[in-house]
Amino acid sequence: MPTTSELAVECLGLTKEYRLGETLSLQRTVNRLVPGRSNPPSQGLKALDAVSFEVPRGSFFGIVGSNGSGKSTLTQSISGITVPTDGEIRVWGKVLPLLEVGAGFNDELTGRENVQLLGAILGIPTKQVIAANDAILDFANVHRHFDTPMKRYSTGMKARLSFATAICFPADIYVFDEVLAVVDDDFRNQCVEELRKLNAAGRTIIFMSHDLDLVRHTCNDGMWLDKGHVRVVGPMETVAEAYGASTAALSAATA
Amino acid sequence: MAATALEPVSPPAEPTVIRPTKHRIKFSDLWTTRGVAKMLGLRDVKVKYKQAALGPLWLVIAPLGMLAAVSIAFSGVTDVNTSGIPYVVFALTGLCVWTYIQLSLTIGTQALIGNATLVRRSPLPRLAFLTGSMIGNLPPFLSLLGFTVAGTLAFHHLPIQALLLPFAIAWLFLFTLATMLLLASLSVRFRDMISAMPLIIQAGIFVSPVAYSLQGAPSNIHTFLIINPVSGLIEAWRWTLLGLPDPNVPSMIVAAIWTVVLLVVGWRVFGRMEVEFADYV
Repeated sequence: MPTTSELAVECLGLTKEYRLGETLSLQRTVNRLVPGRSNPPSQGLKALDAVSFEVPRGSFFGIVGSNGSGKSTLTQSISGITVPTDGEIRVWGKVLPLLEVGAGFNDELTGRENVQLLGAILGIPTKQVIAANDAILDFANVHRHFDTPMKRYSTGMKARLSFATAICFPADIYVFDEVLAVVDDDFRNQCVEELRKLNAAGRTIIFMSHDLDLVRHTCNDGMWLDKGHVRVVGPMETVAEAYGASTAALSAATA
Repeated sequence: MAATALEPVSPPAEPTVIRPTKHRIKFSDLWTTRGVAKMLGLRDVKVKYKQAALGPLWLVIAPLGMLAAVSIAFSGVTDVNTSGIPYVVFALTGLCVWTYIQLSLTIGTQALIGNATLVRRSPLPRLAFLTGSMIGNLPPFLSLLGFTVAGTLAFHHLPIQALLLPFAIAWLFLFTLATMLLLASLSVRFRDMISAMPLIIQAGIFVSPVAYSLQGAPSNIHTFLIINPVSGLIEAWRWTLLGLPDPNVPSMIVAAIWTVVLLVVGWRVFGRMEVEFADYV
């Protein structure tokens, strides 16, 4: 059992509730104002329901789960973007989130301008971003397109550039949400290689995906999230086996 | 390869704790996010003139076109009592103030919605989107300010109180920040704000002494004009830059009160709603 100082992230009873349905419309306004009419009671959905787990410092932590399991809400919560409804998250060190391919990029700007913008958004001083330009370019391998507006980039090129930008800057904890889904195998292997290097240098990596094979081969610890609940947490092999068995059973049932 | 990322780091002994909260903004966010605010503002400026044949030349064309339009409509059709100040610079000063307010009402109100992806996917303090928008709105304002000062030197003379111009600018910025805090936050939950803005903008130039004078307005609409915070700001600017001999003091007091009240209310509304921006934007 690791002591708290050996942890990177700790979630205690983390709960996030969203409201279902439209919050505002002319119909709802009329219903509220006219006597004798009322709006149906709003229903809540717990995207995360009392989720508790620990991410050990320096681990390569995979989170698997089907659509709607709460993975993205969890990444948003750990990164300090959305405020939890209940529970607590403890984070040791700087978090660098990359939660969507091309998030922060503007289609009208060139690759170079976008890298600077994304660097600033990730909290990196401009000088450091400019100094890292070559490393980012080499890694993303988009040299010829660096001064072309991003609207003429392919989805894969955008993904390469945002991934390359994120991993070129220091942080204690990197959080990736499904960002390798649109790149080709070569670049994915290159990314995994780079993430392993970061991990070997002591960085914690939290990697979210529904690509079980990818997670199984890269992560050492992990968690299976299912409809906002933790199903299994522990060594990745155990998690992957349980999750794999469940999805296999599901596809057998629907086949 | 990722050289900087591989430098050794020592994570802190004490964790950052994230708990349910109703308020998490700090005044210091204004200062700590200035770098990224500048980049966001720069992005808005660059994007505006991309794929445009005339590009930044519009910064010259737009103010002059607007000056010509108001000159025809107000000075041409009616007789504006400018207290002896040449109409060109009288109107330019009004346009200078109005243009910046108008941009913060239209573009500034959408500062959060327009950056929805970033609001949902990055932990950046949300204040940076507002200050970024204020920076992005600067070029048209600075262009008009340049025309105003140049025009004043050419057709009139700068009074001694022109040295107070930095304070007049600071007041304008505080007023626009206050309105943006309120309107940008509300528009995340109530998109009605977006539909209301064109109305406010189009009506605003008629109900504010942008191209006409407060002094020359008939007494029955005088009270209404004084309640409008834009009037006091323009009066203060005309006194500062043009040495308006008879500025309307009550309108300036009203505008100062508006600024303070909007700043306090705006900060509280923004702080209260900010924790939910990522969920509703």
